[in-house]
This record gives sequence, structure tokens and C-alpha cells, in this order.
Amino acid sequence: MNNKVNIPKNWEEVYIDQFIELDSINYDEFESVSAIQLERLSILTDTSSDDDLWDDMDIRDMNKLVTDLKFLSTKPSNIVHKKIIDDEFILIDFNNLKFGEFIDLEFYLKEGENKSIDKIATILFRKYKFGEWGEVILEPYGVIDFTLRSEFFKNNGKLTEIYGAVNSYKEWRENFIKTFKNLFEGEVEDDYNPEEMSEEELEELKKIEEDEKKLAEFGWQRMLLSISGGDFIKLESCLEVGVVFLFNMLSVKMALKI
Amino acid sequence: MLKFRIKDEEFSFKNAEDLLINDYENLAAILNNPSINEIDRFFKAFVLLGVDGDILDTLDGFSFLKIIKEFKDVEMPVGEFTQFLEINGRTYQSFDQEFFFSVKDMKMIEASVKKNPTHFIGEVMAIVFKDTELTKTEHQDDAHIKYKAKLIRENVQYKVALPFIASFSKQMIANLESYKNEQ
Repeated sequence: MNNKVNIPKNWEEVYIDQFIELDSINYDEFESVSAIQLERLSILTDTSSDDDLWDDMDIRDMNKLVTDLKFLSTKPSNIVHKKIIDDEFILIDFNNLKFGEFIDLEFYLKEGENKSIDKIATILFRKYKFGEWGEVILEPYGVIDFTLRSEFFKNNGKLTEIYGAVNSYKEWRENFIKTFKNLFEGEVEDDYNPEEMSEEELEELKKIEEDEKKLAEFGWQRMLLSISGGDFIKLESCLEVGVVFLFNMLSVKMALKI
Repeated sequence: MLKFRIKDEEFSFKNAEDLLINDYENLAAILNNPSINEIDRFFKAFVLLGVDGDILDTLDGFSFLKIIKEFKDVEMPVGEFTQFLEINGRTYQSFDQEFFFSVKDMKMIEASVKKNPTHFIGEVMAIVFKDTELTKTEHQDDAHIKYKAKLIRENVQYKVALPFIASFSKQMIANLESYKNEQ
């Protein structure tokens, strides 16, 4: 019976769609250990838990298969692959990220790096060609059909081809945020002492904090509007500016209070 | 069959395995009911096994505890797996060549046990025994399993279920160990 079922023996054999599905399993929804095992095996064999295969399989054979799933409790390899899927796609240089790409990455990271790993990969990996001087020319972000591409990565991308790159990006992002900490935090005046404030002042402070919370939800849009000087026509071109350059300029602007 | 004497008269219990599944489930529920003290639990259980309650009342505490001990020591013989059941003119089959729990059956059985930890034997049997005239989809229909479980409870003795329950318990432990090892 075992011969009929091929399951991955390590993370190298797991595809992105399988990883996303495994990650989204809500263990509380399952009534038994067998149900959980069946769910995981059906994900890893690209079948459904209702598939006839599981009608005919002896539970003891399933338990034998399950012994191969030990790798699921380990972390996938963090090796960064520069080129993936038969070298068709190349990892971008994070320092060359455009502001628009950076905002999109922020959105998908917030949504969940595992849940949205296919979408993150769509931004981080591009088709490419070589120019006249042997330089790498990347497929522009704007021409990509995002849904199609993320679907493609989901079904054709091996997890370990992408996982390391995502973590590497997260590391880069952390350093980036540290570098431009003042821009991310905004101008927060926290040198006040609530004990010394009157009731009216405290009330006002509370209102300001609530407003800031609301505004934070639209943080990127606000930043974009501020950069474009409120000019909607310029919004698109602002998204095309390199994020490192942009934040450098904003930092200078802030330092010089101009 | 367990027997005991009061003065010169001999009394006997029905064998638990000879009970219908329905009665055995009730017996098991009584014996596993933590809200009743042990003496009352066994008193009720012995009545269910055919002993007159008035007779049990005449026993002194020491004799009653002795019967409880003897009852606990009785081992139920686990027979062979039954392949066919005939109920109300229909045939139910549990396996073709050799009995095993299929992955899907096990999943359904574990869910039934979780839902009702004291009355699940009827469901286990209803899941394992399939009406030979029905399709796979029909076998797995909740309403059909519920109906079949009632039918089996009222018509099949516990001794028929015993090998399946013993095998199920063994398998449950194996499943948990396999899951634990994987973590």
C-alpha cells in the first residue's frame, strides 16, 4: 500500500502550496490524531482527505508513512537561492527595491509571511535577461500579472528555494527599519509626565493618541501623499523611487527640518 | 460465568460479553461514572448483569467487596473478527480478506469516541460493518451510521464487538505514539 503514496521526506521536496496549506491547519478544528495526520498527508500527497485512497489504506500503513513526516517539526533550510525554478527567476537586490514594492512587501508580511510566501516571492523573484553589457535586466514589477505569478510560484516553487530568501529579506528589512528608525516612529513627543497634566490635557492627549492610531492604519498612504506633495498625479512615480534613496532623502529632510 | 453463594444458594451473573452492545454500553457507563461511589457503581452493574438487587442487599460489606474483586478479575475472551452480520435480512460486512481499520474509518471512529466516550461501541461497529448493498458514500453518511449503530446495539452481542474494540484501543495508542514521535 505504501508504494502507492509518495510523500515528501524533507522540506526540499515540499512545494509552496503545500507549505501554505500545512501552515494554515487549525489543529483545534480536528477531532482526533488520525484526522490531523490524514489532513497533513492529504496536503503532502496533493489529494483530498475524502479521496478513495484513504478508504483503502490500513491505518497502520498511514502510521508508517507518518514516521517520514518528522521533518515537519524542524525549520526549513535558510540557504538563500539566487536563482530558482530552473534558473528562470532571479532574486532581486533588496537595496534596489522600489518604494511601491517595499509597501507591498510590508502588506504581505503583515498578512503573514508563511500565508503569503507565494506573494512575497512574486515581489522578490523576477524573470531576467542580460543587457548589451552583460548586465542583468529585471522584469519590471508593473508588468507582472501578480495573481498569475503568485499562483505559479505556489504550484511550481519548492519551499526551500524561497524560504531562505524571505528570511534574508526580513533581516534586510529589520536593518533598514533600524537605520531609518526616526522616520518609522514619527515625531513622538514623549517627554511629558501624565501626573503633572491637568484633566483637560490628559483628555486631549488621549484624543491625540486615538487619532494617531487611526492614522497609523493609513501610514503608507499618508507617507505617499506627503512625498508627492498631495499631488495625486505624482503618486505613481513616487512608487517607482528606490526605497533606500527615498528614505535617505526623507531622513535628510527631517534632520534639516526642511 | 461468575457465581457466588449466599448461605446455601448459588447466584450467577450474566457474562458481560453476552450482553447486547446496548446493555454493555450502559454497564460500562455505570462502571466508569465518577459521580457514583464504587459500591453503588458495582451494585448497579450487578443488577444489570441479572442479579436481584434484594439479594445483593443481604450481603455484608466484606462479601460484596469479595465479589467486586472476583468480577474485576474476570477476563473476557477476545474472539476472532466477525466478517458478516445479518440483521433484518440485510448483510453487513467488516472486511474482505483480513480485518484492518482504514484511515477514513479510524478518523470517523475517533470522532465518535470523542463525541460520546461512554457510548461509542455501536458507532465503531456501524462504521466497520458496511451494508453490502450500499455504496462507499452511503456507508459514510452520518444518518446511515446513526441508524446502523442503533440496529447493531439492539441486535448484536458485545462479544462480537470485543475483537474490534480491542484492536481499536491498541490502534489508538499506536496512533498517539506515532504522533508523539513525530513531534
